Parts: sequence; C-alpha cells; structure tokens
Amino acid sequence: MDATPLITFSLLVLALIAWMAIPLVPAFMELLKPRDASPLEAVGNDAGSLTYFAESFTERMTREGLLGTMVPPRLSDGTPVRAHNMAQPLVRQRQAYEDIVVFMDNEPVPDDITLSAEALARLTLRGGRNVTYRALLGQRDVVLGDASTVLRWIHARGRLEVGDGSRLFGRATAERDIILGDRVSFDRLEATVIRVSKTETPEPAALNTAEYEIFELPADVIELGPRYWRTEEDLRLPAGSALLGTIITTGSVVVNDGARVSGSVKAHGEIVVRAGAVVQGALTAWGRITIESGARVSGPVISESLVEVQAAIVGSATRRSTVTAPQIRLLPGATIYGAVMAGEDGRTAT
Amino acid sequence: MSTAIALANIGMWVCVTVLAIYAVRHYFFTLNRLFGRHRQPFVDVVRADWPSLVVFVPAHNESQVIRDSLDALLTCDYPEEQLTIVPIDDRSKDDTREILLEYAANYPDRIKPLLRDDGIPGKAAALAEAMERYTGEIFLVFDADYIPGVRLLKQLVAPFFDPEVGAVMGRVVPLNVGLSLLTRLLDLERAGGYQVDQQARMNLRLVPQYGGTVGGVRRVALEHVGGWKIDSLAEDTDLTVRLALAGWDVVYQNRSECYEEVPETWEARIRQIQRWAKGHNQALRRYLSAWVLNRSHMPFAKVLDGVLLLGVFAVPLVLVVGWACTMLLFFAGYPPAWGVFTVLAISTFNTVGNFAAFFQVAAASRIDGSRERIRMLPFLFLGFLVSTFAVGRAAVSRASWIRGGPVVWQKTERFRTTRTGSTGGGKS
Repeated sequence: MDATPLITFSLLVLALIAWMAIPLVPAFMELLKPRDASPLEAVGNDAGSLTYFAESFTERMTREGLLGTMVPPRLSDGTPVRAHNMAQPLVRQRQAYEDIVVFMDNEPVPDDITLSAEALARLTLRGGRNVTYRALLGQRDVVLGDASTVLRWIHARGRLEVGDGSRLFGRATAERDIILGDRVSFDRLEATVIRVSKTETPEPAALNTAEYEIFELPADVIELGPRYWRTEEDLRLPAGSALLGTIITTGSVVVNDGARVSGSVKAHGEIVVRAGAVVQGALTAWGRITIESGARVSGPVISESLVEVQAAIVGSATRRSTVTAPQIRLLPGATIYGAVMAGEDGRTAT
Repeated sequence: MSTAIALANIGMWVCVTVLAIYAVRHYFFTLNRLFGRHRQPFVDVVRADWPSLVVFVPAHNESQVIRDSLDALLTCDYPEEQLTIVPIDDRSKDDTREILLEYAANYPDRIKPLLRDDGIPGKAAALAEAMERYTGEIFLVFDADYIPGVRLLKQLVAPFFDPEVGAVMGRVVPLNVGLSLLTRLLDLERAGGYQVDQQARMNLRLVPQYGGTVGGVRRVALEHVGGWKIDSLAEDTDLTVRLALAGWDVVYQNRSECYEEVPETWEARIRQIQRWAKGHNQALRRYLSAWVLNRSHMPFAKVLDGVLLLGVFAVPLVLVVGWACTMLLFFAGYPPAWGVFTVLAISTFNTVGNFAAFFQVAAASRIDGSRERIRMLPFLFLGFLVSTFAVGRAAVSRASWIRGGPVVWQKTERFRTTRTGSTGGGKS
C-alpha cells in the first residue's frame, strides 16, 4: 500500500495547524510570561490640575536644595544647574542652555536665548524679548517679554504678565492674575483672574427681577422640570427682559442688551450675549458663543466650536468659572475668573 | 415543505443582514476612533461653582470591598459642603452594615448611610428610595467595588453644566488585570467597549450608554422620565433609553476613569453576562416600539444606534436562528437563494464579521498605548464563545422577555482579599 498520499495529507494538515497557530505563539508567550498585565494607568494624575507639573517641580527643587541659600552645581541625578544673577548673568548664545537655570535675583533675562531645561525664578522675573522657556516656575511675579515662548508649562506664585506676540504651549497658571498682551496664543490658562490688558472691565449689574419684563416663552416649549424648558425655536430675549429659568433650544439664542437669564442656556446653534446682558448660569452651545462687551456670565462657557469674549466678564471673584472650546478668542478687556481652556487654538486679538 | 424552505430562506437572509449591520457598526465605530475627531467638550471644565451632589453606593454583602470605595470617595476633591456620600445597605448578611455605621460615626457630616430592611430589594429600588430622601441636583452612583480617583467626581459632574445632559457615564478600567486569562480578556473587552464603542457614540452624537456605575443622573431629568424603574433587571439600560426618548443627552467621559474589579472565574463571568443580557432584552421588549415610533426629535442615525444598542444581546439568538435556517436549507437539499453569493455572504460574515469586534479591541489597545497586551487578542475567541453561550442562554430565558418573579439582588461575586490602602474608617 502506497503511504505517500496519507503522508502528504498529514503534512498538509500539520502545516495548516501550524499556520493557524502562528497568532497563538505571541498570545501564549504573553500569557505565560506577561509583559503588559498591569492595570491601565487610569485617572491621569495631571488631569484636572493645571499646576500638577509646577507642584512636582517645586517638590523636586525643594528636595534638591534649590530653594536654599546656596545652589548646588548638580542635582542628585547629575543634571547640571546654572545660576543667573547680577554677578554671573546668562549671556546671548547660539546654543540652548541645557542646564536647569535658577534665577537668583531681579537681574533681567537677556533677549533671544533658549532654556531647554526647567527654570526656577526665586524673585520676580523679567524676561527678555524672544526668550524660549521649556518650563518656568516663578516664586513671585513673572513678566515675560514680547515674543516669548513657553513650551510646556509656566507657573507664577504671584502675577504672570505675558508680552505681545508670545506663545504659551501647555499650561500657564498663576496664583494671582494673568495679564495677556496682544496676539498671545495659548492652550490652557488658570489664575484667580485672567485679563487681556491691565484695564479692569466694569461689571454690569443684575437688577431686581421686578425691573425686568418677564420673557414670554415660545408656544412650542416643553417643560422638563420646574423652570426648565426645551424648545425647537430660535430665541431672542428682548432688551430689558428676563428669563427666569433654564432653557434648551435646537436653534440659536440672542440675549439682547440689558436682558437677564437666571439659569443656564443651551443652544444647538449659536449664542450671543449682548452688551449689558447678564446670564446667571452656564452657556453651552454646539456652535459659536459670543459674549459682547459689557456682558457678564456667571457659570462655565462651553462651546464645541468657538468662544469669543470681548470686554466682558466670566465668573466672579467668589465664583470661579471655565471657558472651554476648541477655539477661543479673548479681546482687550476680557476678564475671566478661573480657567480658559482652548482645545486647539486660543488667542488674544484686537 | 416549500413554505418552510421559503421561510428558512427569508430567515437566513434576515439574520445575515442583521449580523452584517452589526459588523459594519463595529468597523464604523473603530474607524471613527482611529481617524475621527475626538469629542470631549466637558473634560476641561476645571473651575466652576459646583452643584450639590449626592453619591450613592448601593451595597449588598460588600464587606470585602466597600471600605476601599468609601476611603476613595472621602479623598475626592469635590467641595465638602456640596457633597453627601450615601452608602446604601440593602439587607446585607455580612459586615457591610457595621462598616457603614463605623464610617458614619467617623464622618457624620459626610457619610449618611441608608439602611434597608424592607421594601422591594434590588439596586433600582434602593436607588429609588435613596433619591426620595436626598435633594441634590446631581446623583452619582458607584458600585461598592469601584475606587474613584481624586478628581473623578468633578469630572463626572462637569457635563451637567450643559442643561441638556441627563446622564453621564465614565470609563471603567479593570484593576485585577493580571490574575488570570479571564481577567486579561476582560481587560481587552472593556478597552474595546469604552475606548472605542462608547467614545465613538459620543463623537457621533449617538446614544452612549449610562452603565449604572461610574456615572450619574440629573435629578430633574430623572424625575422627568419617571424615576428609577424598580422592576427593571438593568436599571442603567432602562434609564438610558427613557432619557434619550425624552430628549435628554447621555454623555460619555472617556477621561473620567475608575478602577473596578472584574470577575475572576468563568462562572462569575457567565452569571454577569446573563444578568446584563436579561436586563437588556427586557429593555428591548419594553422600548423598541416607542424608540422606533416616537422618534420625531431624533435623527435617523440616533434611532438606528438605539435599536442596535437595545438589540445587542439578542444577536446570539439571531446567529443561532441563522445557523438553523442554513442547516435546514442544506439538509433539505435546497441551496440558498443566489447560490454562490449567499455562500460568500455567510463566509464573509464568519471571517470578517466576527473579527470586527477584534479590530475594535485592537484599536482600543493602540489608542490606550498598551502595545503588549494586544498579543492576547487570539484568546478573545474563547471569550467570544463563552459570551455567545451565556447570552444565548439568557436570550431564551423567560426573564428576558416576560415579566418574571420579584426582582432580587444579582451582583457579581467579589474576589478582593487585601485592602488597597484603606484608612480603616478612622478619621485622617
């Protein structure tokens, strides 16, 4: 009996099994000798805390003794440290400074230099023009010169002033206020108050309810709860009128001059809050949100496209708030108590 | 006989169509996550005047795990004056009640346990009773084995600043990953389900699902849709559907992650799947017609997604019917209509279709940046077979389709034996 066909068939079957088993080889290897079997790093520690990196850096600098009277020449991991002071200032050079730089006194930072490691300013820092910082922690005020660039984060324990044409990538935070110049681009800002230009914007007053004409809701409105409505129509609150409650619309919303909303507003279209209008709640829109000069919004402002804040106020000294959108435009006089978070493109503009 | 053959032909094609739609859905969602725009409008709301919040922790015989959960909740950064933590003990027979009383004594202003000895048992009934007693604007729910991170409460509350949002769901991440083949497979499945499936629905403005834990609901929305349905087998799916039908949004927050303990034995896993399947099928029976008929305010894509979401645990039944029809046609000697084309369609489904879910899991692992665990992917076929078996059994059970007996606590068995850093209920 010729065994060749049987052998051939057996070999084919074995080859097929081997072929099909190929994907199982790495699977069994991973099962028997796990290389990636720990839980995913859930709940990123830095999520929601814009000062996370600054706090970590402060801890490290404290541990390494950089906040003491003497600055060591190297950190414990060998990273070199350079001090900048009146006696030994940094000088303009073509290459970037690779050392961790400690600004010891008020000696200004020279123009046109690049610091490619973190920097620590022990007193008020005055940055030169066109300086690039990887990351900067200011123990007091920080004043960035025009056309400065921050690549990762900056934190000032006092005030942070940002010169015209600067670029703030990553996180920019201050424990007092942030003053942004003209044409500043940014990603994420957080401070007690964030202003574009140093001039304070006057707050419009919310009058007593009796002084407003109560807004008449559209006929198609659906009541979702007490003072909580939904409509399919565009809404235009006339000047001097008041909407006492929260409204959702699939259209757009205009809160005209001097009108007041005592609740939150959601629009699938756009929202415009005109001069002197007051919204005592949040604004949420799929489209653009414009808060015109002289208006005030108490709650968070959330858009899925663009938010423009003119010389208006968001939040208050006692009620912090957030402005968040893929694109954000802050015009001179814009004042935000809390945070400004631009997903793609944040800018100050004239 | 010819009628039976005709019916089998129609049945087979219906089944093939349904299964193909689910396969396309898997691919569409996966491609959206790989190449589409990531929509997370609320993730950056970090400063706000936070609303009053009540966190419910329903518990039934949870003494092994509840300390970790309460300890974690106590360390969250939500403003204390706006937060009340309400662990609900529903007739536990172990030490759960004593533990809750110990915590209440140590944190009298923050932890206010609700102790249930009578009334209808079950999570939905417990939540319904608790909701009547507390007046927060927002309710979050955590199962007793979940360990929230410090910032999780704010992250989950942030979407509620949008007044259209009725419910929020966070991402569940397995903690006990490396213990067995099963836990590793469940880790992959969870990644696919949340990182791809839920987030794609969020991106596309479809119907992300509120999952009953690591999530919450707005009081106004809950009251608007009639509160918790205490006779539902899956109060989360039930609520998701009712909220969407009433025009409320359900938001998925992919960055709001929370650790959970996944089942470590196949028996526990099968029971878990069967419980989910029965609840889902109950919701399918209750709401399918309303979903299709009362859809005036919803775009077609959302209606379709809702139907597919409701029907997801009926798919194995469809698969079995499809196989039966195919075999009937084959043994009766009648080739299916359109001969070769049919064979191709079925073959395609059996290869490409089944692998659609694998593609989803692989994409999720890539997005998560975990490159090595993807090597376990071929073993998912084992998980798929077990799931099909469990879902199939649930799909033909009476409880799935007909109102059964009284609702009872059906919970997943806990395996945790060591604590992960509890303060022991003492004041810190």
